[in-house]
This record gives sequence, structure tokens and C-alpha cells, in this order.
Amino acid sequence: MSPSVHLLADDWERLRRVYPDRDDRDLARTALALGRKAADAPFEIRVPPNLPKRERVQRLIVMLARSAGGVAVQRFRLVRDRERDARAERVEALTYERHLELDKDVVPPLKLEAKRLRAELRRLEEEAGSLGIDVEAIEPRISWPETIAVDGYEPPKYETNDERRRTAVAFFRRVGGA
Amino acid sequence: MTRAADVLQEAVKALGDLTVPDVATEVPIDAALAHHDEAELRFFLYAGLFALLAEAVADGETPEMAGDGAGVTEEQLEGSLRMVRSAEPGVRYARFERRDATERRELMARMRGREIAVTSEWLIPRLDADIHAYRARIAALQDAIARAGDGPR
Repeated sequence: MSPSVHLLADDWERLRRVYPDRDDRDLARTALALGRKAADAPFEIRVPPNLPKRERVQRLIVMLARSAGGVAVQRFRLVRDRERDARAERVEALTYERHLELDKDVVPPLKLEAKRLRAELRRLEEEAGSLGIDVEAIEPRISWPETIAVDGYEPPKYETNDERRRTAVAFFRRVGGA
Repeated sequence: MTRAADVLQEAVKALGDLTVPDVATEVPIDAALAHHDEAELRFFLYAGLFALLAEAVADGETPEMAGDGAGVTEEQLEGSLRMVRSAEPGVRYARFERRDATERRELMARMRGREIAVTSEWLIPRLDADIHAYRARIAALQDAIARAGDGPR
């Protein structure tokens, strides 16, 4: 397979319209040579006005080639990265939703249930102890250090937009009334 | 008839258009360049592409240009250069902004992905196991208390 470099199809097509009798390989070879020449030329902001017209035009061509080449590669990446940008946006939204779902709908009920059961368990152990039962002898036992401590757990509060609006209105009323 | 000056104008104008189609074409290069940095080769090709368009404008050399009097012109090339220079900051900023936003999104997604994995594969199974153990012990304690209550009175 012969090596190649990707350019935007519309850009290359324009060159082919101007040079319809030259094949792609020939055009590419010439373009590469001119591109290197433009890149190697001393950097200039403007063409000195005292040069002969032919020289001024040559200098302008080099300046145009270098500037346009720089912009074109930036635009190439920008355009070709559209798919990556869209994918990043999609994946970020998906992970946000899944993360929120776990934090809001899945984990809190489990932690609250664990918290409730731990309290119930301790209450029963106390009750059993008060009845003279050796609670340490009752199986299965709990290895407390290996459990997840949830005794102080409070589920996160997620505000709706309406709730946020009400809070903001109340705040400004308070401030305005002060 | 294709006028090189029109094509150059079109090409320069398109540089600032960020909505152009993203369809790419493979431009063949010599095998000797196969191991060169592709980004650098792309820059050379693009710079050369514009040089070729500008040369066609300046010389009127292509067969299509013959006799059309497109004489040319420093002013046209200067106008094109001004257009390129005015497009440059916008394109660079858009590229920087888009890349930055995408990298931030990818980073956030990776971080959240790790948190999701820890929650799904470690925290939730651990909580489930704890709850199962608590229920089993509660049942055993209730049973013991009930048996104690049923004992000698």
C-alpha cells in the first residue's frame, strides 16, 4: 500500500480543478516541495515595497502559503475531531446519568437499609443480653470492622430547579427586607 | 472555465468556515516519506497547495487561465493573505476551545467511570453482603429471644 496523507477532500479538489492535467502524485510532490520551501523561508510580516514586482509576488506567495498552511492544519484537526468531540459529549452525559442514578437511586436505599438493620441488630443484642442470653454465642456473628459503617449516614439532598428557585427568591426577599 | 483567482478566493474563504464537510481524501506521497510525521507532512502539503493556487493566480499558467486576462496581482494575493490572517485567530481559538472541552469531558468520563466501577463492583456488593449478614443475625437473635421467652416460667 502506498503511503498517503489525509487532507480535506474539498481542499484537494480545488487544487485539482486548477491543475486538471496533473495527477495526484505529481501535484503532491510539487506541493510538498513548495510547502517545505515556504516553511524554510525567513518569517516576514509584510513584503518590502522596494523589491521588484516579481520578487514581491514570490514573497507574497510564500507568506500566503505558510499562513494558510498553518490555519488549514488547525481547521483540519478541528473538523476531523468532530466525531471524537461528539463521542466525548455522549460518553460524558452517559457516565453523568449513571453516576447520578447510583448516587441518588441505588446506593442511598441500600445504606439506609443497612443503617436500619444495624440499629435493629444492636437493639436485639441489648434485649437478648438483658434476658441473660450470651449474644456472643449466637451464630452467625458479625465481624463489625469488616462491615461498611453507615450509622451516621444521611442521604444526599438533590434539589429540583423549583426548589432552587424558591431558595433564591427567599434569599433575595430576606436580603431586600434587611 | 476555472479561474485560479476564484478558486484561491474560495479556498481562503473556506479556511475560516468550521462547518466544512469532514470528508478526507488520501493524498499519495513518495514511499521515502512514509515514516515522516504526518502532521508535518500535512502542513507542507497544505502550504504547498496554497502556494500552487497562488502561483496559478500569479502566473496565469494553467491552460484554463490562458487568455482570460486574470492578470494578477499583487493586490489579489495581498487580499488573500489578509483574509487568511483574519481567519487565523478564530480557527485557533475554536480548535483550542473544542479540544479543551473534549479533553475535559473525556477526563470527567474517565473519573466518573472509575467511581461507577468502584460503586457497582465493590460498594454495592459489600452493602448487599452486609445487609444479608445483618438479616441473618437478626433472625437468629429474634429466635433466641423467642426461645428464651418460651423457657421455664
